[in-house]
Amino acid sequence: MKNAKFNTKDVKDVCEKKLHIEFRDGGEFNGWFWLDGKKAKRITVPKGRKPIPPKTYQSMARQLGLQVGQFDSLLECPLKLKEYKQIIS
Amino acid sequence: MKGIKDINTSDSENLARMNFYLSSDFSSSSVDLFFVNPRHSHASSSNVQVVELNNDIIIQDPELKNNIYGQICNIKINILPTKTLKTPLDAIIESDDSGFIARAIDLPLYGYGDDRIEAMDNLKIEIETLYNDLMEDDEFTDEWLLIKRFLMDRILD
Repeated sequence: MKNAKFNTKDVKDVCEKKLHIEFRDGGEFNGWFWLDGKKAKRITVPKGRKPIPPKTYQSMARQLGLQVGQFDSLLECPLKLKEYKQIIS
Repeated sequence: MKGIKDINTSDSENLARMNFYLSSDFSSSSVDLFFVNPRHSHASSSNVQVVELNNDIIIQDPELKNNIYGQICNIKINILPTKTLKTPLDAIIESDDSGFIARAIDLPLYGYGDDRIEAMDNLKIEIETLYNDLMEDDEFTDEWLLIKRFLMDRILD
């Protein structure tokens, strides 16, 4: 688990740029990932966690339907949008 | 915090046991609170109402009575920021490094905070925000439509 490497802003940036999630600011950031025209996953990203605590990191992975290792890959770059869609389909 | 009945302390163990009736925010039945290193000098007396409670407070599930440093709090949510629940939702608050994370047992939702109260407040916001999202339309996967029905049965709108 590479939670120590990232902060919550990194997660938000990746979700926005790679997964095209539009976040709302309601205390914490939350937004939906669309898959085939439907809202499929919902993620809440807390503000200002650097580095990200382990359970928080795991919870964000879970919300996206990913194992922690896959979430690491998503954040580090190797996991692309197409591969992500294949995982959660 | 409302409804505090009394406090009995044990100076040798540096623990205090407080019996009280929780506010309508939580379960209506009395529960025991154990807090370590009470910071208020008057807390060493019995039958004193504590006005301020610090983050050392640990709400314990009766089954975890021996775990006085237990990091897990079991909570029942009865109200949301602007809505009321017909039946409570179960949640757990855990420590997470220097902060806390609250999660709903029956929902894929989390609240994060620097303390337990903040984490729980944020979880409640998440639940209500999700409910509002789900009520907008049906453009959700089957998993979320099931959750929508679950929340519609639970929330007084």
